[in-house]
Amino acid sequence: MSAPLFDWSLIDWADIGTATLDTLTMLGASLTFTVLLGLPLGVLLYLLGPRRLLANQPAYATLSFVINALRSMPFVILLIVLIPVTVKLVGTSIGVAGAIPPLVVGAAPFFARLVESALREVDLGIVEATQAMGATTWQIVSRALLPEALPGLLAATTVTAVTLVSYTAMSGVIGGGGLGDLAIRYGYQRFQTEVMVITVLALLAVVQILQMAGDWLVRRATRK
Amino acid sequence: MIELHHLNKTYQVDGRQVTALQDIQLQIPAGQIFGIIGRSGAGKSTLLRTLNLLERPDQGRVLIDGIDATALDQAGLRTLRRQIGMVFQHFNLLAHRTVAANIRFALELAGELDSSAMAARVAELLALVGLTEQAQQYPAQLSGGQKQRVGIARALANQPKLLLCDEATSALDPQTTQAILQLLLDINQRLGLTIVLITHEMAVVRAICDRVAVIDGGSIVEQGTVADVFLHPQHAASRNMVAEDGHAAVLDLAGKLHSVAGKLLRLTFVDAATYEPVIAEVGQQLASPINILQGSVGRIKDRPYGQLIVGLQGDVSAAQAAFASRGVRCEALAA
Repeated sequence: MSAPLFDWSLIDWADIGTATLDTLTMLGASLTFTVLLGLPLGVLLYLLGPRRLLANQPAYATLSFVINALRSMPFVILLIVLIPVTVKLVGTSIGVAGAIPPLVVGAAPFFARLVESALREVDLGIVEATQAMGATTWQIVSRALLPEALPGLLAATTVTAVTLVSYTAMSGVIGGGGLGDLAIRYGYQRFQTEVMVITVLALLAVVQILQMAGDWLVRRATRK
Repeated sequence: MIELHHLNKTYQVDGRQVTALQDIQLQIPAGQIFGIIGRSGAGKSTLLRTLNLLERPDQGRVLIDGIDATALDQAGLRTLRRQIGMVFQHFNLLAHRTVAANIRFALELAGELDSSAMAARVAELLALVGLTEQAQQYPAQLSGGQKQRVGIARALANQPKLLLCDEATSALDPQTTQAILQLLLDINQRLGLTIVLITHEMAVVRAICDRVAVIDGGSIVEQGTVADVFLHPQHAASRNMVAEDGHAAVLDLAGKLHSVAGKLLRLTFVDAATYEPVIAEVGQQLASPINILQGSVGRIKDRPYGQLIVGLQGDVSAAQAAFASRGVRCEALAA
């Protein structure tokens, strides 16, 4: 009788548990900071855009270029390039903590672009009507634009969260840990296909849950 | 009272200069419903938006009750805008807010009332526009006419002295249009506020406006009382707008009535003259039959009018004198 295809006894479930927790920690922390940083950036990008409230072509072009530059950088490179910055920010360049700054720098420009396009989906008539009611720019943003764009912003957050999950897989390069790292080190480099299967399934579950939660929030926020 | 002095506005479109407004001079009396009519692209939308400075004119002054709006700073402009309500063709309601919350939005931005005073004001406005039942619904659940009622209630929330209507009925069906126009008329009469509306439909102007200005190619080509402009349009653009409405006897008859013997006259009856048997009396007086060829009767706001094109065999000047003595305007038309 041939050996079974998979030998599940090889799996160290404690490792899988730790890795899952690491992934979730990196995801939670980096998503929080990505939103805190990317949302104002996206709003600014929108406001500076052509025919918008604070239209300013040179400022828009500059900001747009910086965002594009960051977005075109492969994440693996960003992880390494940012090491000195990471050390300054969190005191270490390795482990889960060391992975969070590069994750934020990698995802925030992406999220900012999604925020910009979600805001562009809001009918300009609503901006005009709010302006005609004597609103300040801050009131237009906080009372009309952001609440009206909420379904789009939630969808953008969901997409960003899923992207961050795949970024965390690369954090193994700097010893960041997490499910992706486990998959590469055990599943790929040590030919432990069982670990590969379990980590991939765990990642799938994380992504699936994120997407479902995101879709549910978007549905709840939509009034159209 | 609104006065526009020498307003000019040009746009840059693909490197070309496009004139949107050209030397606009306009006086809008307080308490009236003032219509600005023109085709799309004539500049009426830009003109309306200069009144609350959503469009800033390149030159000229916008005086609202003697205050030059173009000279105000940002804070002054916001205060002014709160005293000017605006209603839009596509309603521009906030989708994430209920009907009541959309109306409260204008009050929240102004920040002058506490929450119980806001609730009371919202209830009052809902009753005014007849939407008390729909207070907790979202805009997506409303019909077009209901959405526009919310738009009107929101525009009235801060008790403005001026209401701007940007094609407020153009997205509505004819029946709903009539209901919304009646609501605007009612508001004008009950609250005494000035309404400036822009439209491309003469029927809207005829239904509720007191005065009208015709805009064409960025210029005001004609203005006056609705009765004057509607029954005796002087400019080609005005004549076209009136003709499209199909409710005045101004159609070009040349070539169609060549078989009619005699002279063609256009008779215009307004107010009391519409109730008198004028045609029969004049026919008897002149001892010559009057042949009615074309005509229309109707109402301009609440004034009855009639306009007829008649054929007459006999003395035109005697007929004109006879009609004039009965308060009927009589013009000889080139046959």
